[in-house]
Amino acid sequence: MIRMITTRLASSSLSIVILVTLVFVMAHLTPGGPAYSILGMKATASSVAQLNARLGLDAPLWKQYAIWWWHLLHGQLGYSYLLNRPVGQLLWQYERNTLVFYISAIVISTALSIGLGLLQGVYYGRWPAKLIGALQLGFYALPPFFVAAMLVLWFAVQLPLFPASGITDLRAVHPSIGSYIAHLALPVTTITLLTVASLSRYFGEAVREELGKDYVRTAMAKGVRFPSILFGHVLRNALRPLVTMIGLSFPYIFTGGVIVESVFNYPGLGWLMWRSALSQDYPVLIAIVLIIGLLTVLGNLLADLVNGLLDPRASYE
Amino acid sequence: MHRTLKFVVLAAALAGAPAAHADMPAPDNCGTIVIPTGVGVASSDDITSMNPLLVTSLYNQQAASLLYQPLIWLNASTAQIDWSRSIANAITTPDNGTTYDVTLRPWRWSDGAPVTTADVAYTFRLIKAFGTTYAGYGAGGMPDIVKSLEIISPAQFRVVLTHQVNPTWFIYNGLSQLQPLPEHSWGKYTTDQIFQAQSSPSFFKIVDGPMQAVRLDIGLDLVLVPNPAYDGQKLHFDRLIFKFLDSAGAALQGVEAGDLDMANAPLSLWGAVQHLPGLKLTILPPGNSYNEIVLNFRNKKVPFFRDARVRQAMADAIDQATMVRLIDHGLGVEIYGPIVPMPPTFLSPEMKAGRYPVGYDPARARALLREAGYSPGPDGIMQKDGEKLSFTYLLLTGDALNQQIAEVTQAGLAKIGIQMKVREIEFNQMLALLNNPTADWQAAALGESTGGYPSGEDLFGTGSAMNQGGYSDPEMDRLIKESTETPGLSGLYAYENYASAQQPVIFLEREQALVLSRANIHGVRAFVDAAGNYYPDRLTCTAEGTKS
Amino acid sequence: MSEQIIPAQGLPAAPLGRWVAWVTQRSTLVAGLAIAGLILFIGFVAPFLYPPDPFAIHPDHALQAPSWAFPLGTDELGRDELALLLSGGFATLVVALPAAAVAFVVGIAYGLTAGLGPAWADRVMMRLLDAILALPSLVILIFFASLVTLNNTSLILLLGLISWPGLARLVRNETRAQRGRDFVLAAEQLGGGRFYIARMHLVRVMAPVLVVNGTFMIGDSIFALSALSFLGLGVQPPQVSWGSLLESALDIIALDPWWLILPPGLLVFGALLAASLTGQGLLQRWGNGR
Repeated sequence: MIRMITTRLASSSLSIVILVTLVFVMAHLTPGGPAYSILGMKATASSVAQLNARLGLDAPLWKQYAIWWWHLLHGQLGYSYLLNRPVGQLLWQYERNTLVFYISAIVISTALSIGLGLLQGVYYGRWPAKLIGALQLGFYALPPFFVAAMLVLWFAVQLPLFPASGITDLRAVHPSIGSYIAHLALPVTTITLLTVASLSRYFGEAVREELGKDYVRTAMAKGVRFPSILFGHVLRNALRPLVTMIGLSFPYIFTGGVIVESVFNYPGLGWLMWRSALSQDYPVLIAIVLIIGLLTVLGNLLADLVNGLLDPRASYE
Repeated sequence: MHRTLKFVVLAAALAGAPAAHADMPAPDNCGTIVIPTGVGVASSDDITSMNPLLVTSLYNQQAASLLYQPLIWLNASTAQIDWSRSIANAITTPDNGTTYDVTLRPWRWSDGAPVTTADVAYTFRLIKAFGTTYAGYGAGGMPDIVKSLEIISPAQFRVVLTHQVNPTWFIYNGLSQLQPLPEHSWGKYTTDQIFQAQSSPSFFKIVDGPMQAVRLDIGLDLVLVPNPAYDGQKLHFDRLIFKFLDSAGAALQGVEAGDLDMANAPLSLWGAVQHLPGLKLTILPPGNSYNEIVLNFRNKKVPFFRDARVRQAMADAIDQATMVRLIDHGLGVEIYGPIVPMPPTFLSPEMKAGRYPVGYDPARARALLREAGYSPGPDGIMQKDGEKLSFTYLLLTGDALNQQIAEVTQAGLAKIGIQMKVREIEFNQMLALLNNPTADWQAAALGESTGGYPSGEDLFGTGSAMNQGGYSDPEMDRLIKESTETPGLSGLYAYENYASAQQPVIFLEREQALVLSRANIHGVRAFVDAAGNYYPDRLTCTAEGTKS
Repeated sequence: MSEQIIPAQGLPAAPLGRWVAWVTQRSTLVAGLAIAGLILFIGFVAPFLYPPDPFAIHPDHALQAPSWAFPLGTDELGRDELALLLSGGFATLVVALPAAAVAFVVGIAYGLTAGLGPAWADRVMMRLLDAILALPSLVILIFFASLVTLNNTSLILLLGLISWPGLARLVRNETRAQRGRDFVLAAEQLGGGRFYIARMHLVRVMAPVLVVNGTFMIGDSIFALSALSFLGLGVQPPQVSWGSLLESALDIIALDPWWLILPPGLLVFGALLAASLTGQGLLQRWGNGR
């Protein structure tokens, strides 16, 4: 088992290297380059050439690649060409926002999912569970940009209850926590609606399975009250796969979603990645991709491990 | 022979006091004003630098100009120097174009130190140190056109050029770049350090302009406060926040919700934004820019662009009046040459009278094509010796207005038998193509600003920096040289008449800007001039009925 | 505690009753197929039934709510929203469906190759797969968008080449699992080449899983195209798609243009729902496919 994990980690590192290389090559081979983003309409052949020289972009690709790894191994993520800030600082600034956003969403989703899942499992076969099941299927199919747009339409435009964009109220010199929360309301609701659909379904299945097990029947036969069975054993056992599911969505917590962040003009990491991809701000883009890669590869590892534990027939190297 | 620059003195007399406001309510303090970048000019984008020597984007320029007072303030809406906002208070050129003597008025940095000619000399040294990284490199011939910069006294300096030039040209385009920068604050840093510190407010602590930067949240906003040591016009607010948004929709949403005080309203929404409660619509006068179709003269697939008659035919086939009416809802200006009609300062007599060499006339367009030897092919497209009049036109993605312009253009050209295919492309890739002399592009939709003295040496001179299409015409070069090197405006007039007739790019109409603002804010129209310069002292507020 | 799926009284005798029971037993699947049919109709048939030109501009009728003249109102340029919606539907489906097919085929091929090949090849292929899976599709798309014109063909290839890894992984795992089974060993003994085994046996065994996942992939493909168009990287102007219609509507959301937001959003939702329900229904029908 340990050996399997270590071999897998080693080969996952290979994946990350391949990933970073692919992105590096693609980003640098995209015609244009950050000089155009920086110089804008003032870009002329000579100013671009000089800027490229200053930014080190005129060196051969393999050399830039090597330099990038050299910096990385020294703990430096580079300097944003466009935004004139160290990449690490930038990432942290945007990451902060994403974390607040997504962790709130995950916490709320989990709470709601547990509640709905319990209902779904306990009332399996009867109409409450069927209704919940139908709602789950429905909400799961909702595209995030549509949900976001509708929430903005209803709760920001038609009923001006919540702000439609931004992170906080700029007018206040020291914005209150309340204003941060108000600006989070709609984005978090969007993500929550979408996540609850799948999480609660997963949890509902787990609860149903648990309720079908022998120990439950035994406990009921012995006269133990149902609520204590439910919240005592069933909940605990059913939570384990749910925790795995949440764990698998870790990459998403860190990288956020470009779509939701762009609808709400929310300056998170997903939004930053989108911007840096469009303006070819390589250091930022590659650093973000590195993070995504790390988290995704680890997430896959986790998923395969869990699967491997559950299904002995699948072979592993 | 002490020949004063009559033009400058006259301008000084005519400029001066700002126009009287029609409404002059008691200027209550506005508190905090929040506006998106690019108000009155373009869609919002980030401010990433505040260094006046390195700013290449409009938004950065606007921020830098609020921090650092220019040597010469050109009011773009009148094309005159506004001496009340310039650090220079007199400019003379005793030999009419080679030597320039500049006197500075008493001015101080925010830490109390006086602004002196040493700061001007420092700026010039920095400009040379930055080389082609310097944002204004080549404009007005700078810095290579300067033979020497001599400090005569703390308030006077003299610039001697390598040769005689048109004084207005050099003063507006070149000399104006020498704005004083704080040597006692920046002098201890290397150019690399200065380059890296472009977005740090702490680097820009010592300023001499109306505002100071407090905080720059990368990707979010820039917070400015009034500079208490500023000797110029007083401001009527406590904080100015520039918010960076990445869509026109977010700006509109913001001003409706009360998060923003102003926003650009897209012309396409003209009808819908007329009567929004609590908001006021201001139509800004036309700006100093034009839309254009840049043609690639180097591409062998479109050799017909080199024939001036084909270009004239194209210009004659485009119905700019309809564009202005339909696309701009009447809020636009037709443009047929390199000089925009407003202000009329630099318009040749012919242009002023509206006698353009080109204009919507499909019959004349067809005649021109016939004269050039083209005849309709079996598919209706004009052709000559097997070469079809067909080209691909590059358009920036996400630009609704230019999309519509493209559609009207396409329709107009189709009527005279020219086929235009449209392809959308991202900004960076478009610029990369345009700046690559061997790249395979044919025509592109762009825009151009005509600031300062609108000579064409950067745009249409052979081999010049912004001449992406590779246009080359000895007569054009000669006329451009005359406009920049001989005094008076006759050279400029001859150049613009020729450019309008030759259409080195196809000049197109330009839309005006619509600004939506909260009803209690006044002075919006005077806040931005035709080049996007900000006049923050013009903003005043009256108390609101309900404040959110 | 097994649950009742079939009514206790068994199947009714009358044909109509039998048909109704047949439908309600498979309600998920039927619902899914019904919605799918509706979407396909809207996308492929309706555009040819509704005459107005989607790209005709009527500036005097800009941003109008639904009326008799314009059943779904107009956008900010005065274009007929219903016509745009139908045209967008066609553009969306004509790219998304073939893209799903491309992803399907490539995914199966890759998964089978990795599953049936030697261990070292499998290892390399799976690590490569990990890397590709981790690549943000946005980066790939921006890269390719700058190199090639985003027309229908290139979009189909691009979308297809982005969504195959998930299926490949599944197929590879299944193949590995099935490899040790008797019928495979028997086929190998009889001299069957790997390709033959793949085609004849494995695909047949995996068919239910493949179809179910294929259905989900169609939904994913439509979603991906709409999301990309929403971000400006999908179907290019002047052609519209549901995603790009939503994006332009969002730009002017301050003006409450509900008739521009609801229809495209509902249609994308409908398409995803159809895929989801159909896949669910098939899953219920066929169990886990083993």
